[in-house]
Amino acid sequence: MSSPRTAKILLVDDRMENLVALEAILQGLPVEPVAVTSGEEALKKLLVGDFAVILLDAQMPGMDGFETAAHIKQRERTRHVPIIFLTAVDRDAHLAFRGYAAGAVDYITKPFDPWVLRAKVSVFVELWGRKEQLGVQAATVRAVQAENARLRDAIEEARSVLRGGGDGGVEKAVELLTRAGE
Amino acid sequence: MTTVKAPQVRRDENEEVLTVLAEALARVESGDFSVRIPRGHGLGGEVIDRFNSVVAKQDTQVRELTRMSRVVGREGQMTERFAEEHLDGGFREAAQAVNSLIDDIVRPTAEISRVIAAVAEGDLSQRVSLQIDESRPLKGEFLELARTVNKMVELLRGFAVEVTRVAREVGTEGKLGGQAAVPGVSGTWNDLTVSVNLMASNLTDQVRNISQVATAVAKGDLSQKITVLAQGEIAELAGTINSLTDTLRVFANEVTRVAQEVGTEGKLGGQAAVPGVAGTWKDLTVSVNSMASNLTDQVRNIAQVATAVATGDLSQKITVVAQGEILELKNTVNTMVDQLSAFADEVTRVAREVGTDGKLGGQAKVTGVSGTWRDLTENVNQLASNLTDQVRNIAQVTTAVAKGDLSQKITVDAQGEIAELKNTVNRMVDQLSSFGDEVTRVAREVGTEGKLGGQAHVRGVSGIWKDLTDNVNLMASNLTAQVRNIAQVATAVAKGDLTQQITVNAQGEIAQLKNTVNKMVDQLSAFAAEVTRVAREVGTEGKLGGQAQLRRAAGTWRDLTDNVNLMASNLTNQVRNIADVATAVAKGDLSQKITVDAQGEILELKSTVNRMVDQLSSFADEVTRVAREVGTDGKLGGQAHVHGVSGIWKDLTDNVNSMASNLTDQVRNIAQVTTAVAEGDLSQKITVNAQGEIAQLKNTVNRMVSQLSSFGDEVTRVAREVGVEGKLGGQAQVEDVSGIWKDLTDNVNQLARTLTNQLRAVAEVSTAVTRGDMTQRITVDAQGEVAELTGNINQMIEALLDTTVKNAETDWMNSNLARVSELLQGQRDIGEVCRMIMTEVTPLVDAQVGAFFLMTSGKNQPKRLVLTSSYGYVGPDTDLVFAPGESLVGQAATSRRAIRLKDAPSDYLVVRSGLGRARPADVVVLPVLFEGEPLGVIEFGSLNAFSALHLNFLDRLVNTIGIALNTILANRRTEELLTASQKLAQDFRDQSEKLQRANEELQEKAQLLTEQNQNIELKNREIDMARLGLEDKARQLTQASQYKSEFLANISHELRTPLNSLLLLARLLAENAERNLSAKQIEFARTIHNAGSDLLVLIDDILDLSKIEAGRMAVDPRPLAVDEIAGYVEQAFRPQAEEKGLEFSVERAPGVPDTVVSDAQRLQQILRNLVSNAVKFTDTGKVSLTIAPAPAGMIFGAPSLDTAETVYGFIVSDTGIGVPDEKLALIFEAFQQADGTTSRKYGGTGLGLSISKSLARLLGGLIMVESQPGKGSTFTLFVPDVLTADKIQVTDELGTVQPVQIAPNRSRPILRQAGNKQERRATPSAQVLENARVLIVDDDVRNVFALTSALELHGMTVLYADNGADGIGLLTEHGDIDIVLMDSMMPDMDGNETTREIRRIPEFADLPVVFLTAKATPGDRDGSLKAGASAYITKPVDLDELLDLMAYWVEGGDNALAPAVHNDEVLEGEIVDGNVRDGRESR
Repeated sequence: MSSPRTAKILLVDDRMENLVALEAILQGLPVEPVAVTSGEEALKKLLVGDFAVILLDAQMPGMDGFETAAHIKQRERTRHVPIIFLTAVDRDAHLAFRGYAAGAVDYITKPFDPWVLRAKVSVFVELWGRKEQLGVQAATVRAVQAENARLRDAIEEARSVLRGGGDGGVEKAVELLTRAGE
Repeated sequence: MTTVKAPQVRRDENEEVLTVLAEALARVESGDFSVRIPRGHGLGGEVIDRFNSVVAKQDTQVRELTRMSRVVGREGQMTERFAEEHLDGGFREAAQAVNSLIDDIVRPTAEISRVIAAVAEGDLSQRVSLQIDESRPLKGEFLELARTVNKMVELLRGFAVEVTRVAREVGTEGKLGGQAAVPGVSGTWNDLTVSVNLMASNLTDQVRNISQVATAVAKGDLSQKITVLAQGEIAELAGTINSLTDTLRVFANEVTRVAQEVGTEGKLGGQAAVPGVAGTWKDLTVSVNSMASNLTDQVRNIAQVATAVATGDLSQKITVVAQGEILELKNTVNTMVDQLSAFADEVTRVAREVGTDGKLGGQAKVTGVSGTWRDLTENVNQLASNLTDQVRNIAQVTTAVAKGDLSQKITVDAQGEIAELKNTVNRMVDQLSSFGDEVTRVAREVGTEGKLGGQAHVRGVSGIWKDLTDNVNLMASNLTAQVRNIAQVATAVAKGDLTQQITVNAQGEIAQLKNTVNKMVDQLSAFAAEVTRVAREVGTEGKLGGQAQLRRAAGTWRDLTDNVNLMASNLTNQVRNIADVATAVAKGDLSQKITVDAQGEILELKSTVNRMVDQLSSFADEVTRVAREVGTDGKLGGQAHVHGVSGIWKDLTDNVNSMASNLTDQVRNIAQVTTAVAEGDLSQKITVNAQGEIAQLKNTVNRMVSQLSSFGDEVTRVAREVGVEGKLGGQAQVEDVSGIWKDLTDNVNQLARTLTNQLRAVAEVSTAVTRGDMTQRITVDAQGEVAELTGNINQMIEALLDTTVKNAETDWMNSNLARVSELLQGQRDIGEVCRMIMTEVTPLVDAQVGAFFLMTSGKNQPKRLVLTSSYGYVGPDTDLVFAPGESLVGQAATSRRAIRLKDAPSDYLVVRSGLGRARPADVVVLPVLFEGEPLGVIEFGSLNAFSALHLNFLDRLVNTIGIALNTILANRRTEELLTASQKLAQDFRDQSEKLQRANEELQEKAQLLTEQNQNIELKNREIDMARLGLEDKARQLTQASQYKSEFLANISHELRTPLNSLLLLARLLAENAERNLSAKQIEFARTIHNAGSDLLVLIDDILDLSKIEAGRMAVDPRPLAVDEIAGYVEQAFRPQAEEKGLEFSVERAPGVPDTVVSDAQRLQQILRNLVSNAVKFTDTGKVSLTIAPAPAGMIFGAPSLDTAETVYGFIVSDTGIGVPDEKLALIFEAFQQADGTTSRKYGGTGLGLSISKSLARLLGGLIMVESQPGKGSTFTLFVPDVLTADKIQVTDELGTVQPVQIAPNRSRPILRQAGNKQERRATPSAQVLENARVLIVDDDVRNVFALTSALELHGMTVLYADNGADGIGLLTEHGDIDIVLMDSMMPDMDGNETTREIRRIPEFADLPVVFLTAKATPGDRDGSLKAGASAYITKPVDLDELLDLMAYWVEGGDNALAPAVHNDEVLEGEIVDGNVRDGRESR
């Protein structure tokens, strides 16, 4: 966790040339694009890896984008991965609505402005990075808290030993604190 | 320019010209090229012109050469060349030669200068090329120059290399002595080389010298000095090194001195004095001095301490600070001092303790000493220990003596006074010992061994010891006397003589003993007497309960007495108990048992008695039972069963049984006989043998039976005679009977008599009746049944009488009815019938007057009752006619009931005969009915009352008459009808002929019609065929249209998809991010992009159109804010319009509400189209959108608009090119624009308006257009205020509304959804599975994904593999997987195979593998279980079930609690088979 991971982006389209175009668009961003040609493959990738954002073609043979999105949204671990629908279908509002209903954060109709897509993706990648950082910080905070609690317990124990008095109370307390400090 | 004077004279013109020419030539010859000859005429002029031209050219050439020489030669512009272009011939050659010269000169020069320039820049690798071109080698001086330059460069290079090498070797690598060897140099180069070599050798020398000195210094030889000649810095260096050497030498001397003084000579306090040093040398000196002073201090301190020790002062210690060996020395000295001190302390302590304090055993403990000190300590210790031993030995012996142990002697070696002390003590001990032995012997002999009379003999004792011995002897003799006396008494006692007493005098304890023995003897005596008494009493005299009374007995005696008493009392108890029981038995009480505890023989006795009692009891019970059964309950045949008895008891039992059986037999026999008697069988007799009373009983019974039998015979005889044979008057003669039998016989006889009387009376009456005399009645007295019989017979006779009368009446009635009916039969004339009835019936019923009124009826006449016939009636002159309801006659007809008039008044009716007249007493009026209809009324009058018989007869007769009348009437009607019908038949025949004729005509027409029909049918069929064809065509058309739309939709999509990447890539190219494309290429890319975009727009439009046509465009009506629509248009088009310099406005007229209900997207699409068209086709002026309500009363011709409450218009007007009227309709067609050229100018697909029109229809509206070419157009979109769902039906030609296709879920869901939400539940299973690691092996990723999300929700970690091999890989990679969920059907390696593989790995032999599959046949299941599956669950999986199952296996399978599986299908095999995993191997 020390070195930040590269954000992975899942590109889903049944046409290789579209995938090539998408990868060309994303070139230069600090991301690792993972291109697959079907919803099933996308799900497989999602089972074994985390992704910062998913670019999902709505219209695919077999499992289409909406169904893929529905699966992704059903799973707790992948629910929050932002999905951007890319569709060549047409400007049918209903399909756009379906896309949004399926949990897409965006619904982009092809052909689209590559720079817009680039910008959108980079926003999500940045968000993802922030989330990663937050996770690391949260882990650190948790560790510090645990350490705090442990030390507090040790101090409490030492205090109770001191309050109890008796021979060697001080030594015992010192020993407890020393052991806690190690 | 000089001008030659023009020839003046024309005369000699040529000559003059020649002259001038010659002059000019002369000047030219002398190199003056400035000469010019003025122009002349003619040939001369021409010559002059040529001359001038030649000279001018020459001049130019010269100037050019001059310039070249200046520019090239002096100014060094080597690129300058002679202009050759406009020169020809020699001039050109000359120019080329010059240029070539320049080239030839310049090129080597340039080459050389390049090389030199390179050399100047330090590049010595360049060489002058010896060829100008490939074929032209340098020659002459150029070659030499080039070679020289090359040689120079070569030399320079060699020199540079050498110098560099030397410098590197000497300077950098330190290889001194190197010399530069540059061969073939001379002059300055030689000097230079020599200098360099000199420098190198000088440097080498100096450095070598310095190094030599430094090495010497390093080796400690400070005598060396640098002697080499040096100058400058090297000289300084040499000086420094030499001075350093000097300083070092001085320093070394000083240090040596100090070391020698301090170390060797012991002169402490010496200090090194090194003058003029600084830095390290100073520090070094100070260190040496400090060392010296430290050493001095330490040595002095040690010396001081050593001195103190030597003088016995052990308190001193070395205190000086020291380190290293000195510190060790210091510690050693200090330790020594400490040890000495400790030794002294110890010795002092031991001496003080042993010597002064007397604490023996003390030892000096000095640790860590050795040598002399050790010896010293040991000596001291030995002394102390010797002393201690002697003193202790003496003390020990004396203590032993004091304690009486005289065996001890002082054994320790001692000398001197101690030895004397030792001997004295030992002697004393010996004497004491001898005395002790004697006394002991006596005591032993007397006390222990019983040898009384022994005396102690101790010799050589005196004083107290002698007294002591005497005392002992006295004591021994006294004791002997006493003991002997006691022994004597005891012996007597032992022999049973209890009379002896101890008489010896004794005192003290012996006296006590004497008394005791005596008392004992007394007690023994008393005890014996008592026991004897008791034994005698109990044993001999039988006085039980006796107790030995021994007072003051104690101890054994008491116990003994108690025992005897106990024995006595036990015996007493037992005997008494036995006696009790025996008594009870004797008294017949068998319930008693011996309960007393007993042992031995008494126990046996007890058991025997008890057993006896038991047997008796059992016997008694049995006998009682038998007696009760046989005697009381009457159960005969009972037998007593007493087991285990014998002897008399057995005999007794047998007797009882025999008695019972005898009794039984007799009683049974008697019972049999009495039963037979009771049943009437008197033939039986008691045959059993009996005696005594039974025999008497038997006889009595037998007698009774025989008397009964005789009685029975007599009675039977009487009964037979009287009852059967009819011999009345018989009497029973029973002899020898009396009492009841006699009474009985009398009774029987009386009965026979009475019966006889009665029967005879009955017979009499019966005979009378048979004779027809019914007057007789039975009068005999009778009672009971006979009385009933008498009554019955009498009643029967009465009934017979009645029946006879009734029969006669019925006969009469029936016969008369029959007669009248017969008379009526065949009658046709009603009048005759009436008359006949009157004449026949009236006398029959004893009537004297009769009248028959017949109901007449005619057409249009009221019904009337007319007197048709009468009997004995004198009627009035007028006809008697009554209307129905009129008079009693009418009434009778109306009410259809007979009316009877009794006691009619006197003047009512008169019966008249020729002689007299009388008034009838009874009148009856009867209606004649047929089926309820009155046909007539008959009235009869009689002087007497009508009998019931007559009335009844009349009633029935009336019916008959009714039938007869009706028949007659019907007959008459039939006849009439027959006549009518005959007439009609004739008419029919006539008509029929006419009809037949008409029919023939009709048939002909029908023929025609049929033909026509057939034609029509043919036509119809053709039409049908045509219609079917049309329908088929229409269907095909529809299909084609649908195909077209689908094709369009598909092709659009297919076209668009590749376009996307094309556009994207074109755009990326056009952006030229990598800046490697030319402007043209960018332009191309942009063109591709634009063309693609246009294509895309076109495809979009086609798609829209096709969707509308295919009916796939759905609308979604919802409230829209009008302002938003206006805002949208404003936002979208204002920039475009302003860009074109057009005025643009969007207005909302008053009266337009804030919201309308419509589909926003479609509305916007239409407006976008209209407004963009307006902007597109307008070059100047303005474009505006106005939203306003439609004018009231406007008729649109579209129902959705005409029925709408309000219609709003979106008016888009422009000042553009307009559309001619004739094209207005055309522009809405697809791919049409008003002018074919328009598209070329304005672009566009021509689909926009077509789509807009369709969309408008979809929205329930329409688009109207007004236009004037050149002035502008106004397109108005009218939409209803509310777009309702029923208006959005797509009404295109196809008429098919297809819903938007939603991709169906193709695969079976893996999870059975209990609800849509999968909630995390806190079940026990869920807790078990928390943090479990699950591997899912399944190729259906959809299912896996759903399953994974569900499992992850329960805190599990899920690993995934989409095939078996990967699954196994993951398993081995992650060893900590808790459970595997396996799909059974996978490509390549299926679930079974994978599982088998897993099981082959030893560490996964027990890993739970749960199969998930859609296949649920038992065969599959068995296959999977055989392959090693732990459990099996079918898809779709119930999550709860799966979790329970998984928890079960994760917890350890069989060891854990079995899961509550509801789906029996799932675990059937597993649960039933119990241990699945074990089952796996066995399967």
